Amino acid sequence: MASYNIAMVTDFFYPQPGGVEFHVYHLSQKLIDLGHSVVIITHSYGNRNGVRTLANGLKVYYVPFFVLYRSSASPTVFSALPILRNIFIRESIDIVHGHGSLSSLCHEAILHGRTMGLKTVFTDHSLFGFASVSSIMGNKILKFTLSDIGHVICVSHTCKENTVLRASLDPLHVSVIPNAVISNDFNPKKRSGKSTSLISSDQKITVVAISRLFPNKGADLLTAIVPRVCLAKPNVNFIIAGDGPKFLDLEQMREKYFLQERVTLLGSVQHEEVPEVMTQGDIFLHPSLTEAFGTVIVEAASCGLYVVTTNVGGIPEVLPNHMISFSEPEEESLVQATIKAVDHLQSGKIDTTKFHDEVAKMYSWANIAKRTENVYASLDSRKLNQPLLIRLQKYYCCGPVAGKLFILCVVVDILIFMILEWWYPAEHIDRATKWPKKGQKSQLVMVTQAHESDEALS
Amino acid sequence: MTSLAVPKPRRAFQIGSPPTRAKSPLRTRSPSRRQPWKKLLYLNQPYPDNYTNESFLSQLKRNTTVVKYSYLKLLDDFSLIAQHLSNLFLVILVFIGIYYQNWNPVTPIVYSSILTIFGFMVWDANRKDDQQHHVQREVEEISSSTTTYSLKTQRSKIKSSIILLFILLILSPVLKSLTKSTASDSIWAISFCLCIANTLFHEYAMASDLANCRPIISTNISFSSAIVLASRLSTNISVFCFVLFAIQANILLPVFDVHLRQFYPKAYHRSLFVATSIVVSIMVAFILNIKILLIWVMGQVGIVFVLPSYFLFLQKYKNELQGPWDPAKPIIKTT
Repeated sequence: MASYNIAMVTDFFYPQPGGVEFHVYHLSQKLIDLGHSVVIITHSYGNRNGVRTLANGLKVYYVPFFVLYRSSASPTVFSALPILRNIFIRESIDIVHGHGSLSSLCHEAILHGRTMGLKTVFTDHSLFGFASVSSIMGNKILKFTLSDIGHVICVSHTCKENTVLRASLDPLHVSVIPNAVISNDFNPKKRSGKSTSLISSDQKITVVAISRLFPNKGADLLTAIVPRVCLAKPNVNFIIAGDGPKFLDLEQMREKYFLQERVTLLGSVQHEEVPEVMTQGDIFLHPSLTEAFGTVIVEAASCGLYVVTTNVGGIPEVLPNHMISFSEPEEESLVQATIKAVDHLQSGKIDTTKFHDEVAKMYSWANIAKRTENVYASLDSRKLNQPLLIRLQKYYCCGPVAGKLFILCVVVDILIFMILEWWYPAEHIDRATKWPKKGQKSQLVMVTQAHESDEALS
Repeated sequence: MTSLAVPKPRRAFQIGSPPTRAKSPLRTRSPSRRQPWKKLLYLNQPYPDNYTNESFLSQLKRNTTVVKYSYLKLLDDFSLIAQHLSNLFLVILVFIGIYYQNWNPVTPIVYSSILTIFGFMVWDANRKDDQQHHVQREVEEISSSTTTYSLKTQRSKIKSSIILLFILLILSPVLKSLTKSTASDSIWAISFCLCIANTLFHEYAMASDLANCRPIISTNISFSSAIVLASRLSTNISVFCFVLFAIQANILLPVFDVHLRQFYPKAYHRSLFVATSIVVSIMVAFILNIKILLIWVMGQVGIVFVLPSYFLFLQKYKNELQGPWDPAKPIIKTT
């Protein structure tokens, strides 16, 4: 298989925690393992500015852009072209892979990548509705970017349906490749002694909930059901990790029902502490109202927790039925599901000991990278780089007003690109030395040795 | 988002020629012997990643919250806009009459006050009934005290109106000199802007009830519009009469109309609407000219009859998409 030079472009990357960030990092690492060269382009975070190299030679460009809203760069259509062109040429990029539909940097990179005739891939990580003003705007922008995209990847089938509708795509140009977890980081706790997994009926059961406490993550549902479950099941304790605007409500609930001893509120936890929190529990409660994939429930299952969740978004696709129990996003239904899960655990009907190994077989980044590689291999530059008129036609179909505006953007982008080509020709841009590939290490040593001997001779 | 094409699902398809998958033995099998595709992520299914099943978008729901409108009901709804415009125009016409045609300012106020008092009696009678019903339902034994109670509120209402009248009378010299240093053009411009703002902010809900109907913004706007216009008039008595008339036409009349819609059959509201329209049309014909009358009548007919059918016509472009990607609305019992 050919080796590609891939640029992952997203506004969301380390030091910020989150699903997209981990996805980009792990996917890049595994693609490097497969013999590709990967760079990540993101905007600068505080004084984290410039080029950094992470493990395995993964290069990260922290480009200084003005951050507009929730760590998303300001949506200026053309301003990133000079720097992105420079990076793309410098790193001899073949494939531009953007992540996250809210990332304006990603949209710009895909537009400029198409202007430069590169192959483009976009991964969508989130779900959007169609009704609100912000989603109408966002969907229009997505439609613009994806009009001329090579291929789109979605993290779940629900996400695919959503993206196909939002950007009016051909479903065959959209692949479903889920997220994965590093199962070695999420190990179940080692149960002591003879009773390996069975929980006797008098034993305490701990329910863990980890989420940012926002309304769309179901924080209101969580606040409503905790006292009811505590009342119904006296041997159930709660550990709730995460911070957000609804934290105060949870604290008030705890004080109102005198549950200080049974409900632990940890506040925000670092991502590396998450497994530690998870292994303290037996049941993972996930009351989210919308979720494209729900990596956290896979992580919880990998830690050997039984998952109780709402059946929203892409969640029903994620785990097999013996690991998870679904409820409606309603207080009553969620309370019943939680109580039932507690009963089942106490009666020993659920065996959680094998969860970890099963999850490790289901989701691995190596598999994800392999499937992403297939997508890269399917991109055909001859098919993608059609004459400009045909490309413009695709943009023109976006809408009576928007279509014309989009064409204007594309044409201006090409003009700016031509000016840059004249003003700062590609030959004048230094090519970066690639990090030695694993298999080629010995070769490189030989080459440098030969080089040295040449120098010695001269 | 007018014509969003919903793509049709297609059968299996192989992206490009991914070497790893092309070599897989599963591909050579006939589709019928394969296990059926499942919409699950944890299975390693022998299908390409971009496989699109027939079930694709099966959970998509379209236009579930769309209401079917009936033309007759829409006529009623749109007549509220026409009626509000009539009320605004009525005040402007009276102003033109007083300012340009030297009407005796007392004449319109006499007619309108008689109507207002009549309206108040209707309103009050119904209030009394309503309160009695209310109280009887709650506590039957104190029904005898209800009449005194409502009499008290009635008396206090009359008292406060009289106080307001006198305040207005006292303030009218002040109002008269309010914009002396301003040119008339500016006043007409301000008044026009206020009228536009008033039509925009007015409460047009058909089924609004009195308790919830507090059109604060539109009340304030129509009041300031009246004051701004009144400050152009020359005598104290004309300022007082004009402001009072504006209050009656723009503030009390809409409240009375809400009351009519709430407690009486629709015919009452409709006849009130027709009566105001006719009065305004006649005044237009007398004060202004036939051309403007034509424009006015056409405008009213357009709002009442043409706009609803245009609204119905636009309904066919409605394309709401709902599916599992929408954030769920949690049902939480209030504790």
